[in-house]
Amino acid sequence: MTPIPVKNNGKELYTYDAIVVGSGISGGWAAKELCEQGLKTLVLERGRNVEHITDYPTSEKSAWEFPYRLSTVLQDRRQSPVQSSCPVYNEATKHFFVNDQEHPYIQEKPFSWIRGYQVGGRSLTWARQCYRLGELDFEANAKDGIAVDWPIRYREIEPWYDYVEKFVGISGQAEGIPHLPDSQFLPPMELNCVETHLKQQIRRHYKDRILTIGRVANLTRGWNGRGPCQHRNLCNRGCPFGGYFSSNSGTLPAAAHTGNLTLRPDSIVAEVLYDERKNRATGVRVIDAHTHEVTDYYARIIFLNASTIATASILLNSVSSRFPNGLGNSSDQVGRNLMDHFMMGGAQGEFEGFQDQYYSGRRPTGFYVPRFRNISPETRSKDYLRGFGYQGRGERAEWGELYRGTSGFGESLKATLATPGPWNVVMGAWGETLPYDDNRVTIDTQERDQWGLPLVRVNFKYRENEINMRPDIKNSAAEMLEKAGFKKVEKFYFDQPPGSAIHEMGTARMGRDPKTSVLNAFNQMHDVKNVYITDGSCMTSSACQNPSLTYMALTARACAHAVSEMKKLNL
Amino acid sequence: MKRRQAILGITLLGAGSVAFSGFKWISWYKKPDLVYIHSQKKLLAALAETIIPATDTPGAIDAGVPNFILKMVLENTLKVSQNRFIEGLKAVDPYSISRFGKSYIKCSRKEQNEVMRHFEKDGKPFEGIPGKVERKLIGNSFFTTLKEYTCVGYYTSMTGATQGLAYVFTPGHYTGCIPLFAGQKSWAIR
Ligand SMILES: Cc1cc2nc3c(=O)[nH]c(=O)nc-3n(C[C@H](O)[C@H](O)[C@H](O)COP(=O)(O)OP(=O)(O)OC[C@H]3O[C@@H](n4cnc5c(N)ncnc54)[C@H](O)[C@@H]3O)c2cc1C
Repeated sequence: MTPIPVKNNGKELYTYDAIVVGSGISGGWAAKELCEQGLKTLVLERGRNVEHITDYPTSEKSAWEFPYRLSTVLQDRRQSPVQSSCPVYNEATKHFFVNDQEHPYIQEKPFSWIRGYQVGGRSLTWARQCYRLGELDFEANAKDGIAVDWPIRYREIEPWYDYVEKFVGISGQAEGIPHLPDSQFLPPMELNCVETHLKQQIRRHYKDRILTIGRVANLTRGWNGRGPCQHRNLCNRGCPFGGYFSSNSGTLPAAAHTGNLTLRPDSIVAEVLYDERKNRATGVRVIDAHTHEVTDYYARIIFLNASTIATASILLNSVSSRFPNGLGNSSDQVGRNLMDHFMMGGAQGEFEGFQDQYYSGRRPTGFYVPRFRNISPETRSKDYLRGFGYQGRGERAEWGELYRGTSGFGESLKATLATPGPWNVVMGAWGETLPYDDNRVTIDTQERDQWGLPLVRVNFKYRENEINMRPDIKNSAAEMLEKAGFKKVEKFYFDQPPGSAIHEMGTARMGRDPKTSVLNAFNQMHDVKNVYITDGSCMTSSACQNPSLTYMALTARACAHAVSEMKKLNL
Repeated sequence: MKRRQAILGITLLGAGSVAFSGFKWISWYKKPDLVYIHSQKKLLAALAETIIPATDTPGAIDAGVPNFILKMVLENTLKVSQNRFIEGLKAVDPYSISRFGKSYIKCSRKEQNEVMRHFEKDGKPFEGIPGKVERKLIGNSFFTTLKEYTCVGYYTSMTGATQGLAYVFTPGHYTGCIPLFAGQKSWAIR
C-alpha cells in the first residue's frame, strides 16, 4: 500500500482532551457532557453543518411551494431507493437523508440502512418517541439464557434517565407501569375522543393492558429556552420554534456555550489510531469529505457515536497487529448481534360514533399500548419470548385517505372530501428482536467508497422468535379494536425489509465478560479503556421500546464515568 | 408517526383485477407521446374541472390544477401510467363526439359528466390481484390518474387548501375533542 500522506505537523494543534465521533442523538449528548465537565472536546461529523433554524430551508413552506406537492417523487425512488422508502422522506425532508448512490453499502439480504449524514444526524428527522427500558428488559437475557446478560440493571440507569429527560423535555402521562417506567414528564398531549374511547374499553376488557398518550420529545411548554411546540407536526423538517429535541437545538448549543467545543463537519473518521505499547487509542484518522485530505487528531479519550452500523465499521477498519480483526475485537463480537425492531404489523378499524366531534391542531405523536406479553407468569406466550408495544393513532379520514375509496367525481366528491370522514384507528406493533451472532455487519475486502473506505456489508434476517410473534401482533390488535366496538377491523402485516424501523443496534454490545462482549458496564471498551461507545451498538438486547432515550442516558452516564476516571488518572 | 400514513396508504390502494389483454399491456410500455399532452391543455382543464368543479368554493381550474396534472404526468409518472393516460386523453373526444356530436369542451356540464362516468367505469381498478401489484404491472387507468392528480393538485394548492378545506399552518395548540360546527371543513393537513 502507498503510504497515506497525513497532515499533522504540529501535533498540539490537533490534540484535544476528548474526541466525539458523530453529532447525532448520542454524539450530541457526549459533546454536551464532556464540554460541561471542562474537557476540550472535538466533535467530528462526516456530514455538512446544519445550524439550528437557519438551515431548515423547508420548515416554513406549505405544500404548494414544493414542485410535486410532497407526493412521492419517482426520481428519488430510483436514485435513493433505500432512503426514500422511509415514510418521512419527501421533498421537505430529503436534504436530511443521505443519497444512496453516494453512500453505497452491500445488502447480503435486504436491509434498509436509513441515514442522515449531517450535523445533528437523525436527531433532526426522528419521530421523537421516548420510552424507558425497565428491569424486565435488563434482566431478560439472563433469565432467558439468551446471548449475554446486561451488565447493568434498571436502578443503575434510572438516575441518568431522570438527568437526560430534564434537559430533553418529554411530554407524557405517568402510568406507574413497572416495566415501562415513567419519565420526568412535561404535560401530556391530549388524546382525541376515539382514542379516549379505545383507552376506556381496553381498561374495561383487560386488566394488564393500557393505552397512554405517546411519550414524545416535543415540548408542551417552554423548556430550557426552547419551544413550546406549535403543533404543526412538521418536525422532521427542523423546527423553527425549537419545539422538539434535536442535537442542533439542544445538546450542541449547550456544548458550544461552554467554549470547550470544536465542531468539525465534513470530517469522515476512517479509523481509530491505536498505540500498542501503551494499549491506548491515541486519536482518530479523518478524511476530509470534500478534499479527501487526511488528518490525524489526538485525544485522551474517544467516544464513538457514529451510529450502530457506522461505529462497527470504524472499529472493523481499525486494524493493528494487536487487533487484526478490528479495534477492541478480541471477543469477535464487533459487528455481530445486529438488531432492529420489526414493525408494520397490526390492525385498523373504523368507529361509527362521535360524528359530531373533531380535533384541532396537529399532534406530533400518537398513542402507545405498552407491552403486555411475557411480563408475568400469567401473560406468558407459549410461542415466543419477549413482546411488542403498539403505536397508533385515531383520526377522522380526510381527503388524503378518502379520494381513492370514494367513487364518482364532481360536486358530490368535492363535498365528501371537504367533510371529516369516519373515525379510524390504526395501530402497529414494534416488536423486540433477539440478538443473533450471525446477524452481522462486516466490511468488504474489495469494494471501496469514494473515500477509499471499505463498503459495509449487512447480513440480517428475522428468525423464529420474531416470526412467531406476528400472528399475535395482528390478532391482539384486532381483538382490542373489536372489543372496543370498531367496525371493518382489518389485520395487516407489511413485510418491510429489516432496518425499516431505523432502530439498528447491538454491534458492540455491553457485557460482563470481555470474552463475550465488547463494552463493560460503563460503555468502555474491555480491551481499550479510553474508548467509549454509547450509540446503539452498545445494546445487549433490543427491548421493544424506541431506543434513543436509552442511548442518551447511557451516554451521559458513560461521560461521567470517563471524566471521573480521568480525574483519578486511570485514563 | 407518519409511518401510519404509509400503512394507511398501502391498505387504501385497494384491491383489484381480472384479465387484461397482453397486447394492451405491451402498448402501455412504449415511449409515451408526451408532445400530445402539451397540445391538450384545454381538454385537460375541462376534465379536471369535471372532477372538482367550482361550487361555493373554487374549482380545479381556479386552483391551477391543470398545470399540476401536466407536470406530474410529464415528470413524475410511471411509463405505463403515462401511456394509459395519453391513451385515455386521446379517447375522450372521439367518445364525446360519438355520444353528443361535439368535443368534450363544447359539451354541457351534464354531458361532460356522462362522458366522465364512461371513463370511470372503463378505468375501474381490476379485481383479484392486490392493488399494489396491479399498480406496478399495469399502472393506473386514465381515470384513476386524472382523479388522483386532480385531488392532490387541488387540495395541496393554496386555493384548494385554504378555501376548499380548513388550513392552519401554525395551530399553536392541539385540542383532542371539539364539537364539529355546522359546515365545518376537514383539515387540509395533519
Ligand atoms: C424517521 C425516523 C424516525 C425515528 N423515530 C424514532 C423514535 O421515535 N424514537 C427513537 O428512539 N428513535 C427514533 N429513530 C431512531 C433515531 O433517530 C436513532 O436511534 C438515533 O438518531 C441514533 O443516534 P446515534 O447518535 O446513534 O446516530 P445518529 O443520530 O444517526 O448520528 C450519527 C452521526 O454520526 C455521523 N457519522 C457516521 N459515520 C461517521 C464517520 N465515519 N465519521 C464521522 N461521523 C460519522 C453521521 O453523519 C451522524 O450525524 C428514528 C429515526 C428516523 C430516521
